[in-house]
Amino acid sequence: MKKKLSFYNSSLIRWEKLLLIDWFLLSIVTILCIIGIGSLYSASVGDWYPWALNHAYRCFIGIILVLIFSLIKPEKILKYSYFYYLISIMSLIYVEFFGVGDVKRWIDLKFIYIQPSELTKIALILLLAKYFSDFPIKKSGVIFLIIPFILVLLPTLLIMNQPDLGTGFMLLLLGGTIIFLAGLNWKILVFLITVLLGSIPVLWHYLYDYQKHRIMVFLNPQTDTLGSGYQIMQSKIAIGSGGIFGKGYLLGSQSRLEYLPEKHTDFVFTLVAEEMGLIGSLFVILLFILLIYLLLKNYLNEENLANKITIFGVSFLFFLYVSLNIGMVTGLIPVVGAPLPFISHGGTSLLTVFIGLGVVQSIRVHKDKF
Amino acid sequence: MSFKDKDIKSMNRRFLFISSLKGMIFLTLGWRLFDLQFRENQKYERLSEKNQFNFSLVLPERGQILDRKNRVLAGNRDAFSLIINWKKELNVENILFKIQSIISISDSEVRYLKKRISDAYQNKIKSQKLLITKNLSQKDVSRLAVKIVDFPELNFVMAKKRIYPQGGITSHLTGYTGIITTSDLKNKNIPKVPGLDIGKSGLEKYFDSYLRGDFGRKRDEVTARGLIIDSNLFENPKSGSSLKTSIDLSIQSYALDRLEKGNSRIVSKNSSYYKKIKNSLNEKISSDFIYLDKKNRVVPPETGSVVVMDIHTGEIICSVSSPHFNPNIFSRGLNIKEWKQIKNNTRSPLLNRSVAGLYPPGSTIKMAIALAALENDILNFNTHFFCKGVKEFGNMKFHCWAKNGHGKLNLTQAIERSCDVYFYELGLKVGIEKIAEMLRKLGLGSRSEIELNEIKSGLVPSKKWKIKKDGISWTPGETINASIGQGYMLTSPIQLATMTSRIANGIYAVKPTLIKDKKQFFEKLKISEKNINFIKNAMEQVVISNFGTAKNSKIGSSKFEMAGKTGTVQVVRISELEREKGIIKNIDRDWKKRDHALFVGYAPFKKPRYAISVVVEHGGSGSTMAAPIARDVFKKIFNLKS
Repeated sequence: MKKKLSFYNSSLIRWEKLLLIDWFLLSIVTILCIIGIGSLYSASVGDWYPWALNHAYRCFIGIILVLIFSLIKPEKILKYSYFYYLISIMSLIYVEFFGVGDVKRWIDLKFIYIQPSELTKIALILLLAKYFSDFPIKKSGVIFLIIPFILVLLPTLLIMNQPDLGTGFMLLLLGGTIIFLAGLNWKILVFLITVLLGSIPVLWHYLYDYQKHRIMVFLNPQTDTLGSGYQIMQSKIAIGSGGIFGKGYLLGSQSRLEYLPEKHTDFVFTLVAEEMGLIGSLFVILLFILLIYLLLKNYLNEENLANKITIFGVSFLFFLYVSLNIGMVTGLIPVVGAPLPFISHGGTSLLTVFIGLGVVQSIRVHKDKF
Repeated sequence: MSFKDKDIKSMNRRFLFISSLKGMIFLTLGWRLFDLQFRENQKYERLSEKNQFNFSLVLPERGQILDRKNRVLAGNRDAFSLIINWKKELNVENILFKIQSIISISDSEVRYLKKRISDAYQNKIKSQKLLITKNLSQKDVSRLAVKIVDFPELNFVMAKKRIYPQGGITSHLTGYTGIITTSDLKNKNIPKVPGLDIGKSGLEKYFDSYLRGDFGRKRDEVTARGLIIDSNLFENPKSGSSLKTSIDLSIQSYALDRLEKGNSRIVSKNSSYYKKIKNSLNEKISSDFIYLDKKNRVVPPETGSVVVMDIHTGEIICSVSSPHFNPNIFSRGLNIKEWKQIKNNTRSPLLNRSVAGLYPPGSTIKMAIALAALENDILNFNTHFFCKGVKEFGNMKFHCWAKNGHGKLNLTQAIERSCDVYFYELGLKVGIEKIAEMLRKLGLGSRSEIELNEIKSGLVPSKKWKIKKDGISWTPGETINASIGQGYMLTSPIQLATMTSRIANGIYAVKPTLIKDKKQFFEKLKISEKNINFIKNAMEQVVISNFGTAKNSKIGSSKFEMAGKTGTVQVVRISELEREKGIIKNIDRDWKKRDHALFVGYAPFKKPRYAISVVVEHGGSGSTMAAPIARDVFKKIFNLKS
């Protein structure tokens, strides 16, 4: 009877939980989504098709998803962390053999294409959160220190093998930073970085030609003006020519005349910078800083280790997306293939960041009262 | 829960460390954006504009060339170009085939189009505007326009084409234009614009930049794939200025006809006589009439030049050169047949004889020889010499044109009758240096400062020149030859007209110009008025005296009567043996062996206004061929019935 009641209680939706959601953060997200819709509308030279309307639906679904997640207890989400991870690894292996797309990164679910490498990011955060709360670094033995590295390296190598060097590298940074936060010894860290740097020549050997080429072009952009060098040059021209106030909405010549590569996905920021200028591009960066800050506000007064790591992981994921994307389009780092959250057109990465937000909201909502 | 405060503190410390790294990275991103969008903004703006726009030049309309009464000598007509909006998917062969069933397109144009298409394929251009043909007539356009529904990818573009409405009448003056070629590219003053028409000869060449105008600029907005999505005129082209020449088209036209006719008879193709002789003609006659000489032989138009010059301003009223050519065939694009016709014509129709035809002046410079003598006080107005028909000098014989001699005559009579022996004597007394000095003063032997590039300077020989040329010194025999304008001496018709103008003017060294109302500065001639007037009087006698060589070419109006001097230039040397037998008449010789006929003069002699020079190549004699032409041209100028 009691059990039945508790089941009844737990399944009862407590709508008042929604009041505890960080609505300020959600409004920031909404603004970013609107910027995204606007940019995609401009990217198709003033048309809702093919991207803007689609993106609007996705954002709407994403926000609903955040609300749904915030109603679920964080323990319930974290409970299945190992399972999410396993599913991710399996889908990564699946795309290796049955993936679609020219570089085999997608799973065709008939109604939607899923990019498992994106979802792996959130799975990895949840996995490490669960793992370190089960086996804290300071307490556990050497073997438990090696396991998280293996857990990070396994999907990383699978993704790099797709080949998607950028996402793999991002996953490595994400996992590595979480391990560092969880209390990895400084000495080991220095040792690992040294090993990593030392193995660069070996890794270089295993890189695909196009990856080698991209890195070479990045180091020496003048060598290639039609391939990736062209991409980055045109991107810089678009950003630079925007000036302080921009060329005006829908008036970006670089974008309108199709000089911008991938202007609706990874390079969407160049469009914002071209049409809205320095003011627009700094505004977008400030929104992201605010978003990351609002996420991290939950970090310091959180005491549960798993929750702490999750919050940090999600905020760091945002940081990685934003810094790699803007670093790439401004020519600071090689072209790695990182979308800009809420603005780039792309379903799986959008889903990933909304799930991340949802998990953090769930932690926030259930912190004291529930 | 094995989670201690100490661990949380460590985690929070690491968290702060990571957060500060993040902050630094965000600062770097912000700085980078500031750098690109603020500090290097102008550089990227330029690059963006370079991406966005393709600028191309818009050709200006070329200025007109007008005669002194604003009649068009060179103008522009509307021409249509056919443009195809080429796309990769288009079946050009098929379209061309269909077009060619309606209008004709030359093989070279088709070849050019195909080359452009294969270039486009190579450069991976997906669409482009390509020129099919430049020379559509109004007729072609209307024929195509009716069927334009079948050709959605075609459109017409209007352009200007050079046209010379007068055909060949002023061909040597205006010259012609043509499309810029590789050889023109060496000239720094010519802009390197493909398809630009530039002046290739005549005034078109001399005033090329003046007539050309300023280029406009067209701005095309192009996508990364080379697709033009918008196009507008960014800078308007500025039409070239028109050039008002001093030529009087009606005089020019008349003079050309008169020169070509010479002493021939015009027989229309419709006449019964023509029909009678038609079968005996060797050549196919393309014009509506033929010329017949005194022996009823079909002859080509006379070859030579007529130049009329205003003796006060130096303005050239007419400058005719025969044979002429049709300059329109050059601006239209010359075909091989037309080019061969011009090239194979032994009388070189492209040569502007008025300024670049060089002839020994013959007796037409006798006034200058006399002036040289008078100015140097070598003789007075009454000095007599005796002409017995020949002057023996050393073991050489120098003949007078009058076989039996003129007897005893004074200077006026010598000019009037053009006695050669008198001038042999005179020349020997004056000497070549003083003769050369006077000839130069009167404008011979140096480039006329006229607005053409084709000018030849001619030759006034001197002792220095002889040594330099042959290394041998000048001989008195050569002075004798020079005294009657034979030997080395070479002059162009424009120089002879200049010489005559200066004598008629008497005060200023007039310089010829083709431009109306050009401000010119003339130096003083520095010849005494008394001597000039004496010579002018003698030139008058040439026409009005009963003994004058041009006595048959009187205008017949005391108000407008002309003064002048004939000249007959021997082309082949006549041996003593031939003289014994009797010289063969000009009309019975081969054309090439006939004498050149020359005449210089001015009118009205009471109040001089215009000077003329007439040169008829192998025309016979000055008095029978050249003087009548001069008379008739003057009559035309003064509106007198001929």
